[in-house]
Amino acid sequence: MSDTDPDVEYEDTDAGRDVIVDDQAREYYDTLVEEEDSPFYGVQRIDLFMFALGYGKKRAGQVTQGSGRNALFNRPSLSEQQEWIIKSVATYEERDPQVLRDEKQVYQIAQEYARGGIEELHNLYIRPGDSFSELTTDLVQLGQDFYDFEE
Amino acid sequence: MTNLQFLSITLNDYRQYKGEQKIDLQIRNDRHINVIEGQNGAGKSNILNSITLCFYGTEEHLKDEKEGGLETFPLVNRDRLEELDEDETAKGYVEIELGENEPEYVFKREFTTVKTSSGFSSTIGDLRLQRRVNRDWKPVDNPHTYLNEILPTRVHEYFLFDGERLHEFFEEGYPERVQTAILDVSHIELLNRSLDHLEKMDTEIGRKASNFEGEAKRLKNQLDEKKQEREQKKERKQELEANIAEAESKITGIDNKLRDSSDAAVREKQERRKYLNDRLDQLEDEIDNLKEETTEEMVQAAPIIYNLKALEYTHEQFAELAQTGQLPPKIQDWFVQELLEKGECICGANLDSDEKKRQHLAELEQEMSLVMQENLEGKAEIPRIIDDGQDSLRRIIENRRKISERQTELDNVDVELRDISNELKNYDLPEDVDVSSLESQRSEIEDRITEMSQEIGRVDQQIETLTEKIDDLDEEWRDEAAKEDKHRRLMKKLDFVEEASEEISEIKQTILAQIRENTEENMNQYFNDLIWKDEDYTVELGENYTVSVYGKHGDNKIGSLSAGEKQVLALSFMSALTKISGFNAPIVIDTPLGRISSKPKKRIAQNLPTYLKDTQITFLMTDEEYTDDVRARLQNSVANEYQLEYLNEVTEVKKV
Repeated sequence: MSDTDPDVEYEDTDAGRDVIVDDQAREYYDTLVEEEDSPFYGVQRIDLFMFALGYGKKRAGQVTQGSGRNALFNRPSLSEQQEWIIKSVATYEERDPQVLRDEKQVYQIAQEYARGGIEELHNLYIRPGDSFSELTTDLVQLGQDFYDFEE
Repeated sequence: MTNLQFLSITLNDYRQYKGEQKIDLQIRNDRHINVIEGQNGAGKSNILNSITLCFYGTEEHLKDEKEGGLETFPLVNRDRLEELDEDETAKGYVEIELGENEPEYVFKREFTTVKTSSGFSSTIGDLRLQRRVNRDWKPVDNPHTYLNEILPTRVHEYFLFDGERLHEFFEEGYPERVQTAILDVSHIELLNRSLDHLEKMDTEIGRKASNFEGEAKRLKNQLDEKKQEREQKKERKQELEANIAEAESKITGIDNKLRDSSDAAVREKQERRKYLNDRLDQLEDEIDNLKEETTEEMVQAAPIIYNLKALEYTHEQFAELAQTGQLPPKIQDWFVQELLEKGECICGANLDSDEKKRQHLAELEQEMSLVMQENLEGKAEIPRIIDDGQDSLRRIIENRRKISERQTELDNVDVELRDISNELKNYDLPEDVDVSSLESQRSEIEDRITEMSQEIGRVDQQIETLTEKIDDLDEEWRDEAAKEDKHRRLMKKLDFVEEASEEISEIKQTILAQIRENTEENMNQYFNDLIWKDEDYTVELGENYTVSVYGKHGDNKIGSLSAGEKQVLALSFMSALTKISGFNAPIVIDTPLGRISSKPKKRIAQNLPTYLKDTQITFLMTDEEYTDDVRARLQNSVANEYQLEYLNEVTEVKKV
């Protein structure tokens, strides 16, 4: 995460139509939504991307894209809420709301966190243990601290 | 009545039937049933045999010798043979007239028996057919082609069958028999032939492709090996699935025996077990549903909760920008542009003369594009997102509580089920049902089912890995082969053959599923029409060809059906098959009520007149089956009634 740098000039850019993942990530997505014992069985890939973005931000960190380019979904399919989460991640990352002018960078940040997150989620799925339960427990604990209420 | 019927069967010196004996079977109006009654050994089954002998050249309904079965009599009548000297021959024949109302076809087959020093030796002649063309009868050169249209050999056993043996149909391993029968009547020969042909083409192209050299050959060999390995795994999976179905049906049978125990405590435990097993299924379903709901909530909540700091930060930034005037109030940029173009500000200042004000507005427009108008929306949206996260989290917490409650109950149910099983294993009852041994068997079968299910999981995994490997190898092989011009044509052919094969397989599966559904519907109707009980049953035919018979409490009775009930079930299945087979041939059933005791017999007899009422049905019954009660209930539906009189090894057919 970088501190705000008043000298940074952001270019006005538009992100591409599709959100792209590398070959390895594509496999992770496929496995997690297609395997019946996965906690994400039947989940839409766009929603899993958003989950991975959060999980990557919190638990894994950014990972740059590897080889291969696969369209995971097209950006217009994102809901307004999902778009604002992506923008917030970029704003927080850059400590500067001006980053929002540079849409390419906004989505690059999101894709790199999601790349880290999806790998970690895949690891969690293949590790022994109840990944569904681990994920909900993690969320509940984080949420309770923030919203200040008890289970 | 527009279906084909046997108008007559003529037996000439066949088995017990001496000389020429013609049995007129023509039905009329509402009377669609014929009854031929005879004691055991009088030759009932040989009437059925005479039909299959005439049509297909075989006699399939062998009875034990003590019942006066086939082995007792040579093919040509024994009395007739007695008149012969050694090495002399005698001939006999069976002739069948078929038609809707008038004879249209006459099928005939002769047979010859020669008297030898050691006994008799028989040969069967060819099938002959005469067909009526206008008013004339003309011999037909290819009788088997005609017979195939009327009643092909593969389906005849669903039209001409031994009722007494029917209950065996639903004994162990029946799903395979059900599947075979459905395939028999499904008219998919053309598709099967096409698939066979395509398979041959595929093999042929594959064989040619094996002649490729170098890397293409190596890849092809590897591909073939993996395909073979996958086939073996698929066969193993099928075998395991069939074994599981069989094991489950055994468990149902054991459960029913335990429920019928004379000991009240055993019965009670069995009832409790049934309740607990149902509850177990219910709890598992509920947990699955709750998990599904929680996943949906989790997917909504996680991006928010993991990014709460980022959302909070961004919102603070927007608030700060707004406070310092950097985030302008919500003014559309086109509005500022319009003011600039019009040359007059909203405050009334003339922008053409007041350069300072014009510049201010121009800067404002520029600033708006810098931070972007939509950020204003973000400022309002982010607090709502944070609130949504809280709502989802509450629902996740509530669902987790429900899952935990159900999981605890499920664990308790599991423990209680094990306790019941252990108690039953230790039961020592000097009564008809060996509770302890049955329970031990039950536990062993359950363990086996678990092991087999786990093996299926492993096999599935192996099939999947092999499929991935095969796909990769296939692609590599095709790429390699296509590098050379001379192979391209062959590879195109291969693509076509494979695509065609896939399409046809899909069509075949769709047809079979439809037939299974129709069979289930008809079976359900016939079973309820025929069964002697007042309650309604639901007969289901599963995807893996298992049959379930549900009673009013929703319990599956398939494992506990009596021999008579199994016979009725099989009769219903056979009728369902005849109905959907598309062949409108007549039906002949030997000993239809053989396994059914006297009271149900009356009830079935009462229902028989409505059973397959568009079809000619000929029953071959013993005097024990064709009781006065049965006769009385059938009398309005019977067209012809015959008595087989058996004396000195010769049977005469007498019209009643």
